[in-house]
Amino acid sequence: MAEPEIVAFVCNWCAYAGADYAGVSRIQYPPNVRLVRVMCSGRIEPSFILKAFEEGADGVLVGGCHEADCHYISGNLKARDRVEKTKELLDLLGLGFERLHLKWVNANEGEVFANEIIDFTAALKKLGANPLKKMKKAAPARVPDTDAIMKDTDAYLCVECGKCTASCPVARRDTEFSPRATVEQSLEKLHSQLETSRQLWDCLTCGTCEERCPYNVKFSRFIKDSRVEALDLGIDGCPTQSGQMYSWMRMMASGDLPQDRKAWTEGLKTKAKPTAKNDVMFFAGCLPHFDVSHSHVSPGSLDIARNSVAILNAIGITPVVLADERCCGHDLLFAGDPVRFEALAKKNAETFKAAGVKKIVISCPEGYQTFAQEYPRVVKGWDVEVVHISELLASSLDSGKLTFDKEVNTRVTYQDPCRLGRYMGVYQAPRKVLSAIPGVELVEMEHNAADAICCGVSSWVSCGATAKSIQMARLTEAKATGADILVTACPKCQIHFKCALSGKVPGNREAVDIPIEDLTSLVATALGVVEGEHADKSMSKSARASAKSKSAGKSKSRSKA
Amino acid sequence: MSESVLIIGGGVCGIQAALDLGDKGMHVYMVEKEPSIGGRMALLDKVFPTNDCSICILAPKMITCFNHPNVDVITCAEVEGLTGKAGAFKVKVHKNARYVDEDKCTGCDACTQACALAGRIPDEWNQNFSTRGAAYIPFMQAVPRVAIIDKERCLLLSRGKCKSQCVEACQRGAIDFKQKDQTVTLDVGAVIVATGLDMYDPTPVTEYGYGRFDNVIHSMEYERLINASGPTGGHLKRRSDDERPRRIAYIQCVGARDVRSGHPYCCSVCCMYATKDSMLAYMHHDDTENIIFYTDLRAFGRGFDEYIKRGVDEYGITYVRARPGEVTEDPETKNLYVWYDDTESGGVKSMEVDMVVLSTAFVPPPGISALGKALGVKMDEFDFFKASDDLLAPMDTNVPGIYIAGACTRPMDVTDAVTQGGGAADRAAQAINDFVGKTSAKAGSVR
Repeated sequence: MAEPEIVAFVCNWCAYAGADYAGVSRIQYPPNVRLVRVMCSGRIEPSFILKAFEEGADGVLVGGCHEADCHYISGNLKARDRVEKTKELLDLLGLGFERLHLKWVNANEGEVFANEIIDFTAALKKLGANPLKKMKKAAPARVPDTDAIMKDTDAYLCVECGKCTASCPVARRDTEFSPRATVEQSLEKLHSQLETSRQLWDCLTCGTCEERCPYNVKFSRFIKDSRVEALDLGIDGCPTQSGQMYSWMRMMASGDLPQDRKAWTEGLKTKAKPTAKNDVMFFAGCLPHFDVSHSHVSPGSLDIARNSVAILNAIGITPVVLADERCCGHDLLFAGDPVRFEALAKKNAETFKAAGVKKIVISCPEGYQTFAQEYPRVVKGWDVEVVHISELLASSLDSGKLTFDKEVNTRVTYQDPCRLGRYMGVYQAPRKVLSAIPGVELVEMEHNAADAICCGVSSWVSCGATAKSIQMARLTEAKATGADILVTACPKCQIHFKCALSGKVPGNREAVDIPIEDLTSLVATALGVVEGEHADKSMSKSARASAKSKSAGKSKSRSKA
Repeated sequence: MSESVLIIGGGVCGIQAALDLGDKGMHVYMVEKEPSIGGRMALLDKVFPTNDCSICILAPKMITCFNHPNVDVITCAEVEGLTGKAGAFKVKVHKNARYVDEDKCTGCDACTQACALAGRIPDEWNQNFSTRGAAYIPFMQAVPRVAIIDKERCLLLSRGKCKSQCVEACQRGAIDFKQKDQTVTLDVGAVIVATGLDMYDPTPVTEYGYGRFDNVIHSMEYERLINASGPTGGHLKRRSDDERPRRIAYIQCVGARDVRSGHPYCCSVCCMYATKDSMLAYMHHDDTENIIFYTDLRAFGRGFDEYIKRGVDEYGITYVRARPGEVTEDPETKNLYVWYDDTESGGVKSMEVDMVVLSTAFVPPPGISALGKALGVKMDEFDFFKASDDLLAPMDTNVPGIYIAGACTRPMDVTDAVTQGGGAADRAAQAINDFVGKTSAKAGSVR
């Protein structure tokens, strides 16, 4: 292979000084490393590491001070935790955790630094090149022209009545944001101003405005398509976590990474291919990734997948789970990257076709909306039926296949996810399922169904003070119902709400603090499949996290690499 | 052959047509679905742009029409089918039993007071703000002023168990539980359809909270509340606490100019009637603040613009160009917040008001397409009756001898409905002359 390339992020005080010491001491080591000096290894975010891999690095080294030596008290410990997480993520992505090293190097340990580079280079030579190296640059997007956007979204019909802006949760908090003024600006042939404006990324695409627009102007699509223009100019929405999620989405879109997206099904009944005519596939989507990268704010995303499969098993369904499914592409599409979205859509469609999948059950509303509304648009001959798990469960209640034998004595309120509700029109199914659970009392929030307020963030952009304010307002409504639990049917609603509650909250914490759970968690409890057979594997967050870190390097998911 | 004209619908439009034809010496059958003629206008308080008392100008016409020697009014009846052609239509009419002999009843109210359910059934004529019994008279100025027994609710008719105090109370022996529905066939030479309109039910517009918040009402409810012969004797009151609203917001175009509700058209009257409603509130108490949230002010008729100007200058009405996004409620005071984007100055604002009136659209009555089908008359995509030529034959239909008039053709105000009623009467008279006259002449020549 060609010489491996290593990107090393090193802290100013120890690791960089150590490298310097190796240099002035004339210690020989391979010239395969490029150093990036940062003040503290605590500055290194997973996004930096992923970006390096995305750009073709064969290995990444994070170098910092020895534990207890950190010049900023504990920055290196943060780095250690992040690197651990990132290793898991690299495994999930199919790049392999071995490509990421963490090394504590003191300022006088020139030898240690040199040896690390020697060993790492040798190891990388054995591993071979980063498979993303040969990944083709994505073709430039076809930027839709303004006129086409206006026509497609019926923006020309706008009468500037302002119902959109008066309905918008963002506009109510941010006086500079106004869907009406945004469309008006484009009507006045000033669309180019939108491309470079912050407002373009402030929209949640939650669909409240278009739900109420008397002329049916599709504002979310207007924003989505306009973002293509912006991204083409190199302007993005400053995504959450410095865009690490976008890195993995792009990697999945472009690379041919050997992923094993089935490892989480251990102990559950699944199959690799449909064997009967009515066999369904369960699409887990990004849940395994969220679980690793969001456990610090919202642990347990993967529970949704596990509970879903356990529920399916309980009602007599052995779902197909494909090890090589990919990201559905929803976020890329809404962040103005239709090219990579289409690449993902085509890859997924091929995978489903090869496996003979005709019907998909999904627990994520974004994936649901993407498969149901966006794939038919870009994938020729797309004929896969998609149902949200709540719909499947509601119809199983009707047919008598689903009966609950355990009581769950609790009062719940339900958050309608934007994609499931306003986009797909599914309002009743989750409510029907919740109401059918013995002991569950469902109470509605002031804003519900089509009027539900968004969880505050979409597509990993627009997270900030406005988002927090929206989340607090929504949680206040939830709490005011007197419910014990806020139930949602979207992993992202869950992440965003839990994130909002994870740190300090403005005002009275009592008024907003409510446990948040996915619909599947309640259903699994009522079916006894959480406590029963799978109790030990029910993946309570801490249990799984500690189990993983203990077995690092030996776990099943890693044995492949 | 028949020289009679059938008028379907006894609102102001149908009444005008009946009077015009009757006065010409032609015979008219008027078929009215409800127990009283008068239609929508009979329930209004005042009418724009003159602010005349609605029932004061309509009641004389209602009575004249009902008592006209050339007009036969059939109430509680609906047209079921039509055969034949211009000059010789046979119309099947289903007449629902009233269970009260119209000839005997004097409208004395004895039965309505004696009814075991008196005061226990929401009164739809008063938008459910008051109650009635199973035996009732629709409203004070009903024509004919004859009681009716509510078949669905009457204990005797629905469950077979009642002491029937109404029968005892009636000194004229007018109550007749043996009455049956009847189907009659009418021979007519021409037909005028004047079935009028319905008001849009704003419940699906969930963001405005109708049905959820006590003090959000729609314009027809407002009409009854402010009407001196209405359930409150004309005192405008909030549903939550019977207090007088001092600040009222009117939201325009609810269910109109709204693709999602299925009514993309302008209802053409709500700018004016909201202005009228505001004036009425001000006339009752001149410290009432009225705020109209409009999309576009469409004051297109004669005197309309001046009416709006008077609204601003003399009645202090505030017009805000915005379609509100949402109405929320203060759970304590039951006051409402109207959230709107002030499109003139920009920025989302909320205004606290005591009452919100939704200016709802005029829509075709549900199920009206069945009538269109029975008559063979084409309707448009919204279920308005379709003219054969909107410009030059606005009252003609695809069926010769069948004419349309009033708000069953498109949303319109009283003036336009009366104009069309008169126009349709003339078209029908012409048809009788053409078809009946001609065929008689032909028959004569054969002889």
